[in-house]
Amino acid sequence: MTEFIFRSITVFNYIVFIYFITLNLWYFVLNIIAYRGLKKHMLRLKITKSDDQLLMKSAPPVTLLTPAFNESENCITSIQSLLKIQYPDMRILFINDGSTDDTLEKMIDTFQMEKAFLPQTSNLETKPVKEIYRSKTHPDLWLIDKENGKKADALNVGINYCQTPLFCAIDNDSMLEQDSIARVVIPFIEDTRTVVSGGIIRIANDCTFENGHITKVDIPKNLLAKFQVMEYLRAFYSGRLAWDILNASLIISGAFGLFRHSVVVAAGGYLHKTIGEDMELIVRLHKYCADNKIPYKIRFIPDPIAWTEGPETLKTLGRQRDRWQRGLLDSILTHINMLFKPRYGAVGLLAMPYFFIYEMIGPLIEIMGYLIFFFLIIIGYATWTYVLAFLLVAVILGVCLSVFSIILEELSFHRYPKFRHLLQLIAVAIIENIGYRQLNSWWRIKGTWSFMKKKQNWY
Amino acid sequence: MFESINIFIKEFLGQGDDRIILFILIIMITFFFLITVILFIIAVYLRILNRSRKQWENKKHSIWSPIILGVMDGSLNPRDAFSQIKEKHSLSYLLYLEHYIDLLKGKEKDRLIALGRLSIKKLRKLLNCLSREKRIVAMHMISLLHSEEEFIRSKDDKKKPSLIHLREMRFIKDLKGKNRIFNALFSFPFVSPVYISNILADMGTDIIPWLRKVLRNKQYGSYIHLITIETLRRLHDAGSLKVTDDILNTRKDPVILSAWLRFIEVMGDKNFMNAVYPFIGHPSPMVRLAAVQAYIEISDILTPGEVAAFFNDPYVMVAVQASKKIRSNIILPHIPIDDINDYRWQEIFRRMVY
Repeated sequence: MTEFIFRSITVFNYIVFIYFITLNLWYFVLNIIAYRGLKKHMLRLKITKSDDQLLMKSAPPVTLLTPAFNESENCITSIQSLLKIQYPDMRILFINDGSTDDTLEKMIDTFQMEKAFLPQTSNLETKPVKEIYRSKTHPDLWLIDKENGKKADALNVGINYCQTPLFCAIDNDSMLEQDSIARVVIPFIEDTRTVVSGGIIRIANDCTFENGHITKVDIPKNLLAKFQVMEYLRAFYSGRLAWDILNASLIISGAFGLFRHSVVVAAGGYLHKTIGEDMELIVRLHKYCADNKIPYKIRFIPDPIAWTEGPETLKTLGRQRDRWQRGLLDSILTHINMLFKPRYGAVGLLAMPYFFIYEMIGPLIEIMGYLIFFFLIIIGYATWTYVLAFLLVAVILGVCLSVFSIILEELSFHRYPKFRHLLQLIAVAIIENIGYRQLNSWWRIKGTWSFMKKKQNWY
Repeated sequence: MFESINIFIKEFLGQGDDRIILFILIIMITFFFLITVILFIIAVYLRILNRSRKQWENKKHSIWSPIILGVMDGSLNPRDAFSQIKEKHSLSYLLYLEHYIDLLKGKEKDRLIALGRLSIKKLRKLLNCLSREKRIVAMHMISLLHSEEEFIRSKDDKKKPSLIHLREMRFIKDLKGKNRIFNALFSFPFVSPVYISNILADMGTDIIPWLRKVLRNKQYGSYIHLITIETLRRLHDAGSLKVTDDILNTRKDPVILSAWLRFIEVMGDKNFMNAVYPFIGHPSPMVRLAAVQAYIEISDILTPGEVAAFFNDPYVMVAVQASKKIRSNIILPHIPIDDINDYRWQEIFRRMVY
């Protein structure tokens, strides 16, 4: 028995070691790709601005879909912010997903909504629509009141009533920059194969907003929100940018993504019974296009910005990470048959294995690694020196990658203008390794566990 | 067995005499620590650089601004202004000047273009420099100053031009250059046809004979013909409509048919009513939609039968667009209420009327 335990521990140590080396190699490669991509993108930004006349003359009409459930507090500010977006041909569909508060009444009163007719352009299965309204003061603002069916269902209703070739799914609590749509649409103009294009999301805590638009960017005072600023920078600059270049993006954030209506409808719209409907749809679009031999591109653009409030308590953040992990598991396992299949190109051969190994199983290996190290110290088979040295390598590598993301931010948009912002970000890059990263892994393990128990909840 | 595993683990974990792994870890710590420190220094350096660049630009903008405004309102001669600007060859100055040129029209814009053209020698040099970034910015500035002829002498012009290159050259006056751009623009099969036709339309009416020639050549695919028709529409070339019968009778692709019908709609030529009418019953919804819009646009009056066809069409958008067009364009014939009750899209009809 003891022999078996030690054999297992040895094997596991090898797994941890290989996992650690390969993960960091991946990060290294992704960062290099991201750096090259960002450099190219910044060059083109020098001459094609978001208000470029030629591009805007060629811009296709867009519908913004904002599903809302009990958003009485945010809905007016959110819509006012959307109404200020600068884009030549845009309409807004606010979908009231059976709110039980006064969201509907507030919307009707504030924007002088009256009953109207809007033809259905597709027939995705959804909960029934009760009524459609149109604003008298803003003719491009529509409201669809429907029975509660959760976020995916609300988005499908929006798709069914979308009259434009492109639609943009936006979370009600996200604030878009005025030129975000004009920027995120560019891939559709420059390449007709584009089926989805997504933008970068940033943490809005402690930033100043006026009339729904950001006027002053700051680093949040709350430590958890600070950690998220760093996490988002790392995820968007290093991860998503690199996957975009490989045309293997598996995630376009649900808070801000522009989709080609016809392809999403053909692929079946958002799936009702999933937790991470945004990721699942992207993976399904990859699969649908590859299976039907449709040339396609799923793009991530680093400059169009949506700002969102990050959770500030351990409880809410833990719940969010738990849900993200369940969404990830759901999306990967639903499409597990894409894994290692050459017909899916970089998605099947690189992105799916990466997400499967490092994002799905990774947290488990990480936490088990910590536990086994401590177990070995207790029973006297490992020294503190060795364990600390190993942990220190992990921490330094983590800091190294985070600082690289900060450099990418400096080279591109430097949205955190003050010197203290830079120092704060670097400090966060160091201290997040002590406690926060481990906590994150723990939440993700919890997410995996609750996924196993089929606990699904969105709002 | 237990002993050997025990030794192995001890070795692996570095408790025994063999401290190789620990040594490797220490090397890794030192190496990555140094890398991190270097990255940290780079981050701080970039921040300082960005900040000082911004401060320098702000300072310079306050100096350049009154000079540029002077040229703009005509109180300062471009040559005198040019001699007052110390950094007249810097890209920062040229990009700053661009902000003003972009916002202006008429004489004021022309004066600033004249000021910008005094930097043309520098831009010409930049067109052939090694940095792609500088070449592209120079290309952009040259386009803004309408001196596109300079491109013909550039390094990039000798290679297969990029879309950015072609786009920036669109206002070129030289016919040979125009012809090259015209042909090269058809070699980007995935770029939005709307975008390409907007670039082509900016090239002006000189290209109309070439467009007609492309349209006649049936060896080109639908993508190129679509761009051609869209450009002719943007250029409002009524003369091209002469081939309407040929296009509508011989082309089968719904994309081409609907593009031509949109062309007729924009030109509003009533002579094509009979040519458009049969397409109201075309099997493709895209063609029917374009046909209905064109037909309403060029008709003086509609018959109850035609209105019934629009509001009974299986594709809802036909009824929606017909209602929009009718509301803004035409007086409806008398239609009995019972007939309206039979329309598939009677609600759209009612909302249009009431």
